[in-house]
Amino acid sequence: MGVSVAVLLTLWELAVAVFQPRPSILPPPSRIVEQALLHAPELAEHTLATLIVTLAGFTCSLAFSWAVAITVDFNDTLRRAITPLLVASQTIPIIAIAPLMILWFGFGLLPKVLLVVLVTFFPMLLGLIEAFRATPSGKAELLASMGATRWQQFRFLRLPQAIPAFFTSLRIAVTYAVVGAIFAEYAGSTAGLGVYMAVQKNAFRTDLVLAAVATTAAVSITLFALAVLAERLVAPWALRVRQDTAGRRR
Amino acid sequence: MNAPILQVQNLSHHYPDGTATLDALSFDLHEAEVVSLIGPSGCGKSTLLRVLLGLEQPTTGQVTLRPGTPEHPFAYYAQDDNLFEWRTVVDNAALGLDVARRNRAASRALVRAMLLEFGLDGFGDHFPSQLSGGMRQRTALLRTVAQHRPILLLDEPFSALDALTRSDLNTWLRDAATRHGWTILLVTHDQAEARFLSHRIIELSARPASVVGVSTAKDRMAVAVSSRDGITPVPADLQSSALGPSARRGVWTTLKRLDDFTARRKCSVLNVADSEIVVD
Repeated sequence: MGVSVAVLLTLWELAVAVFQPRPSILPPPSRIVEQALLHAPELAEHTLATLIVTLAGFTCSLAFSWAVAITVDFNDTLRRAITPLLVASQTIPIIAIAPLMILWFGFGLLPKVLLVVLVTFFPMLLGLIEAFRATPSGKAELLASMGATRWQQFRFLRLPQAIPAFFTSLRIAVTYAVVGAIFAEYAGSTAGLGVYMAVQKNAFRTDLVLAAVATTAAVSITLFALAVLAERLVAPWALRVRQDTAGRRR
Repeated sequence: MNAPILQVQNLSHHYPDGTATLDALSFDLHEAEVVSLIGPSGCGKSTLLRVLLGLEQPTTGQVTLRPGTPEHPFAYYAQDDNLFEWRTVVDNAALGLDVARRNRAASRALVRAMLLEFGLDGFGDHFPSQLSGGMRQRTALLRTVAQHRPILLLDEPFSALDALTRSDLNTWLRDAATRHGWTILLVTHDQAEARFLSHRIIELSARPASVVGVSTAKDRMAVAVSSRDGITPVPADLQSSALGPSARRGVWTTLKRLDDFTARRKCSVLNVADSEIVVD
């Protein structure tokens, strides 16, 4: 992957050198890097703002989705009532609500955090509910034959077997969270990479817009990597199981 | 002979939609005895196990345990090894003890002491994905035995394995069962396996399952009886009038005490379908 990125950047650099478009249309990578370094302090400041929104929203989502998913797992009626709503919620373009959130809650931290929550909460909750539900019936019957209570079923089986699927939705959701935060800032804010991009675009500073884009990508990749690392620490067995299921078995 | 540890009398089961799976099934199981229930696929063997485990309620009939037997006498072994991927071999084997809220350290020690016999020595801290198919099954078997229940209920064990590993495990299981005097109710569709492992084989009819085909069986109702005690009386439940006249069309083979496995393999089962003998 590193090689292909390097090749792409080199081609881009060469193309700009040959065709010489205006820098406001397409600056070369070297210029983006140069300008990014030059504006590093303000980029860092805005990145931090975005990161705070992302992590605050994501943490709320994580806590809420676990709380709701566990409650729902112990209450079948509730699960049947809630699941169709969750599936339907997946079709709503939550990003499109961003301007409304600004309208309702102003330019502070709240609307942005709320948007990140909205973007990540539903997919994670749905993922968790489904993951608990995907408990193999053979294993559940084995536990039942041992006389396990409902709580023991959850503790010994439903929870641990849901971990790999949970981390899959976590990895996806954490990148959604960054996009959600940027978009909320884009819609209206005083700080953050989204605002920075909007401002630089209006000033025709394409190089700085792209520098912010690159920073966003770097943040997303870092969070994604952290999620992978967390899975390795929490559930070291999950990786092997996934390889197994992808490979020989079923 | 002592009172049987388990007596199944006239057990019937149908699903709410009317599908009958078990039909007036009667048999018994004695301590330290290995009994196989054999029958065609889908004949209701697994339903019977589920009823015994209390996962399904019988429609009629009853399951009687010898007085003094614990309320949950069965340690269940399903077709799939059902190992928990997030637990090591030792933790998997101790699952039943964890459910029973036994002391963690004590149950781990107990299981570790059994690893050698189960051919898992040195693999206690491995995860299931690191084991071969045979070792996975042995771990599952250890998990079943470690529960220390009076009856082992084995539902087509080893059926997912290749023939060679399977025959190895069957040999091992037979020896271990003899050594420890395990009481085993084995469900299988494999004649050879049943013959190899058990003292007594009860052949079931096609669905709904009945021992000698009271309602549905025509010629499928073979029952063969072998015994460690030489001449084996026909089990009382099979003589009962409740089974009706067709029960008497079973073929009863009584065998001399046969310690030698090859001899037992040749003589222990006789299939009605092959012989058409009517015993009166």
